[in-house]
Amino acid sequence: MDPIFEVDDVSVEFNVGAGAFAGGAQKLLAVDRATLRIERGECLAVVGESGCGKTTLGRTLIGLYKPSRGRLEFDGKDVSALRGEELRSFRRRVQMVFQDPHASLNPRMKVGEIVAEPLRVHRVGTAKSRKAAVADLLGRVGLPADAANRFPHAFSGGQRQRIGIARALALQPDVIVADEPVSALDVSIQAQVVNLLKGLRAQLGLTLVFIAHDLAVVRYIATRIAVMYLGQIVEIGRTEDVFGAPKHPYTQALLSAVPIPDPDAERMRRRIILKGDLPSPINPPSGCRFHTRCEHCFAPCLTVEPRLIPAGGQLASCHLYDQALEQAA
Amino acid sequence: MSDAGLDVRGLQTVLSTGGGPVPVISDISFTLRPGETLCLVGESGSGKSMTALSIVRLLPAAARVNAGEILLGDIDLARLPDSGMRSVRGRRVAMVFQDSMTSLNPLLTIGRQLTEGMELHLGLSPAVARERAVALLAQVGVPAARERVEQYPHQLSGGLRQRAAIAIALSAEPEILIADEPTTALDVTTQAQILELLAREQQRRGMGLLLITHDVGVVARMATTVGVMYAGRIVEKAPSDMLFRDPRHPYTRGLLKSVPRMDTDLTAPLTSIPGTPPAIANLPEGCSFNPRCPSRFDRCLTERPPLIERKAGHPVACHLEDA
Repeated sequence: MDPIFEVDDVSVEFNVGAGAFAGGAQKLLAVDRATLRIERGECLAVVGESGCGKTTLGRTLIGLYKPSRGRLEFDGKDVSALRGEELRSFRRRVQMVFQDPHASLNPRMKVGEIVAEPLRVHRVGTAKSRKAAVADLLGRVGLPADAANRFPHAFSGGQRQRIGIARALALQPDVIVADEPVSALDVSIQAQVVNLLKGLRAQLGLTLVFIAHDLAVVRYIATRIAVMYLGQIVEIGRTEDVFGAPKHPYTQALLSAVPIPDPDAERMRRRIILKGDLPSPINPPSGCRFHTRCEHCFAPCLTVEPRLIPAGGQLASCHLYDQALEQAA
Repeated sequence: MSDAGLDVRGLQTVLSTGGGPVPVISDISFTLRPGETLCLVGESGSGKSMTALSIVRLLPAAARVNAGEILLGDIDLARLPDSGMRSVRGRRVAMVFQDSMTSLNPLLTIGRQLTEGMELHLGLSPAVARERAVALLAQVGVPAARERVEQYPHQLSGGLRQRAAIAIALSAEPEILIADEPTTALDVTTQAQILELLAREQQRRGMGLLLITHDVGVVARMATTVGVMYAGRIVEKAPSDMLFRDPRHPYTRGLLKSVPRMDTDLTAPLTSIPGTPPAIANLPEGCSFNPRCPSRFDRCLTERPPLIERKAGHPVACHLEDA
């Protein structure tokens, strides 16, 4: 086991509500005591619905947000203690791909400049060598070399996302954090980008953190899955375990809600329709955060906060798998 | 309630541009019977929303219906004056949009937006309409309905807002409900709730439901009949089971194969359709799909294939069907 990222009991909080600028009246725990390891070369998908904290977790990994508790290690070093050349090296080695390929590319820069910008900022190579690097990067993501001389508006959504990926690859990073990289694309185009990322990971030995809400897409690319609900990781494990035999009742509901493009399969399956709405993350429920909507809720769930414990081949934070509690109940 | 449903024939809508009028949808024909769910499925720019907006006459200013009939019983909505349309829209044909944050009026309470239609279309007194509004909200699964009618749209979550929007659409007891991507802005567990609600109300009321979506999975869950749209035209139409079991058009096949699924083994790679959909103002000659089609031959480059019903109930617009 050789983790590239070690996330140990990390929380990230924001000040919200009245007086946010003056220090904040209320705290929102966007990520609540997350613990996970990201192994070198794996593709970890972080999934969950709006407001679950998956994007905050991703941005914390690349150093955009600072943990308010816990410790984040990259390659054995505490990220918050990195300074000078070590910090610059971290920034080169961890890159990001964004969701919206229209907003994440500067419309006034040519594609060649966009892709070369990370090299320029980090003073890698000469103008000439950067030009050659751009041609190589564009080829890698399946764009013609003459794309370098055009502006982003000349490209479709799928092609723009390729440009964003080429830019993320420019500094030959170890890790790419991709935040909903295919959500804005039409389905016939999504597969192109998923297959590209999958291929690049294999060719370059990249570690990929794939943040997404679309579980069906995730299944095709991830080696492991972390499921988040209201800021917490509620289940984590190998893709085949989590999808094959989901343990947390939230994961079960989430998977059963995804439509299957087959009318026969749709008629046969049991769907778990969750009760009510997502509770406010500012004032989350006591005990298990999912207990207000859980069909298996029993007494301890109201008061005792579950921790990730082994359940099947994976970990789930659910009292159903805690034998001591089961016997006491 | 009339049992005629909605019958659209040869509908064409054009958009005025600097370079003259450009058809955004052409030759759209379908029948939606009471109690039936017709799904129009396609990707961005395929014309599915334009079809919906043409029916209820809520098109952007630069667009207008240029040809065709929109028959609701024995009335042709395409030829109805605006005044007549106002008594149909919201009354006999109602609509639910994708984004309930912008489709609801932020300045009016949920209750007022519910009673407005009932007072106008059904002639109910404000007091009666108000009681019905509370009952209707409860029926679509809004908890504490009596308190919620006093609230404004921004005070509701996305899922509850979409429920309220559905209640408003149902308030005048329409024969036809048009829902344009009603769950696209919602999370998947909320989507499951809203789809269940739409299916239940449609069954209970015997409405015709025209459901517009880009999500083939939603189609599989909801549709009686499916129309697949590409570049402004219906390229294939069939009962849902038939379409999924035996897709004929290369675009439909590509679309079904490119959808990631939760229930297949992962040895088969996710396939994609090469290239991108064409711009509607600059369609290729012949079949609009030909630049992306794996099976194209010379005829496809010059001659646009008409939608022909070679097999009963399953028209397809593709030259391969003649081979």
